Amino acid sequence: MTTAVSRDQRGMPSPYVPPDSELERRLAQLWVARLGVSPVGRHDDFFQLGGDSLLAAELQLDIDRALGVEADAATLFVAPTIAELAATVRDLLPPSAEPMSTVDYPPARSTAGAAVPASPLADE
Amino acid sequence: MSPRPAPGPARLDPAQLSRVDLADPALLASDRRYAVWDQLRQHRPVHWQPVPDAGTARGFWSVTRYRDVNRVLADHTCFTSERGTLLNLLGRRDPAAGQQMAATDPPRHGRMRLPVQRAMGASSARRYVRDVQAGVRALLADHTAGGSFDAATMLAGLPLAVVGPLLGVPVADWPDLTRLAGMCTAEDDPAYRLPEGTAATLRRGHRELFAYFTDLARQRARSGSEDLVSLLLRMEVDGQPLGRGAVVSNCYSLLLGASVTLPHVPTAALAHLAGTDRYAHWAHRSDLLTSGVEEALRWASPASHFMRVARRPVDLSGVTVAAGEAVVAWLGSANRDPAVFARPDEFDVRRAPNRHLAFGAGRHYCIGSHLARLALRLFFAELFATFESLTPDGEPVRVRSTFLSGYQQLPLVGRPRRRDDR
Repeated sequence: MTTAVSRDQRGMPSPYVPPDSELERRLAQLWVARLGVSPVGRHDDFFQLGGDSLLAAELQLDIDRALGVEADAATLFVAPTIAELAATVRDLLPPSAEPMSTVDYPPARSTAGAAVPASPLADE
Repeated sequence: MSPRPAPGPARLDPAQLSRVDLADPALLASDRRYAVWDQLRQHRPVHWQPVPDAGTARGFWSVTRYRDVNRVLADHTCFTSERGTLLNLLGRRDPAAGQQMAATDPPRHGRMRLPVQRAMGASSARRYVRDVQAGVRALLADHTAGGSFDAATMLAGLPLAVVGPLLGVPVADWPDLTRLAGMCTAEDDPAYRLPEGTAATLRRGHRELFAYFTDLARQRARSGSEDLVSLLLRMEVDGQPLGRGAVVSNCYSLLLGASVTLPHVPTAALAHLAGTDRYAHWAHRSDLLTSGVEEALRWASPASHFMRVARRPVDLSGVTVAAGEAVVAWLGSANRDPAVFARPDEFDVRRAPNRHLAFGAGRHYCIGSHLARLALRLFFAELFATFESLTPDGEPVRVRSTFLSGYQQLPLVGRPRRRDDR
């Protein structure tokens, strides 16, 4: 995503805290691809970063596919941070599944197979 | 203040009409709205309302005459649905634009709507008669002995009696979904409002519903079935399946569409009829069930307004609306327009013709209208079979909303019909 905007441009209220595990880094990559915002900190709120409910539903599918687990969507919608999401997903992963490579997983695709929008706020 | 001269004779003090705030939920939650709409229809049928803090918009136009409301809703070449269809989206980007049917313009709208419409049309609606009837009976089951009850609370369960079978939602989840839909449509109602306030209530309800449908869509994607969620997942528009966000957003929209319409048609009718002999009169005339339900729809107009944005300069009743300006079409006012309805402030169960706009008009005409009519007819028939009379049992409380017109409390006392009368 070469046209990603920075989290500061989105006016994030809290300072940037980087993801602190492989799982969190992987989730953060999925967020960056969906939101077109970079970097994404572990305590950043998906909706404050410019996400909306439709994008969250798409992101949930990205997460299902990339990690091979089906976490309850309530975490993403109601406690929408990388840290919370990682905690939920971690409980579902087999013990051997972590840490994971951040390099060789398939890029996030929407169900329509279309490229992720460069900037969800292009029309604002 | 209108930036343009108001057409027509200004018999009313013009300052008074200029001060009218149609974005004020308190006005819309009182019967005073009918007088205001009446004055606007007469003196300022196309009324500019400035709104500070409305994002990119400076305000909105209001149309109150039947003719203009019908035009704004039906003329999709002049008015777009992709820049917000409700006042609470004024001046803001609508994330559902192009993805949710109600927020999508033709021609894509038609390609998205057709398969869903087939699944919800008249012939399909008949498949749900038994389910909906069972749901309606369950609502009334607790009250067959008569006595005092809150009709608004009882009717809050009606939407799921329809949407539940349609979306294939397990019965165990109905109470939760009813509560979440209430948070999204009656956020000021003490029964739903969170301690954190109305904005937090709306947000929480909206997010939890989306989360619910996200999980449901995932489950249906794994094991398809015959319900509407599976249909949305399967269908293609222009050779592409809908994105997951679009699927979930349409489920959300169908549930909220039903939650808005269904409970508030009977509550508005009963608030008016209870304690009068007109309840018994209608109850005894099964031949007037259909026309009476249409009149209840006109009377209630539960969706007060829909918003559109002009794509180009448009003339409405002598006023030119500029391209990019928002126009709010007040369905509730159109349905009381004396130019179309004789004695509009009279509840007439025999009214014919009754071309009300309670379901909207044009391509976006309510996709659930067949199911809604079915559910309303079944409800009233069951209600009439249960109660010989209904009388008020305290002050009703209206929903505070610029969009939803209805009751959050309607205390009634029912006198059960004797068995041998049934």
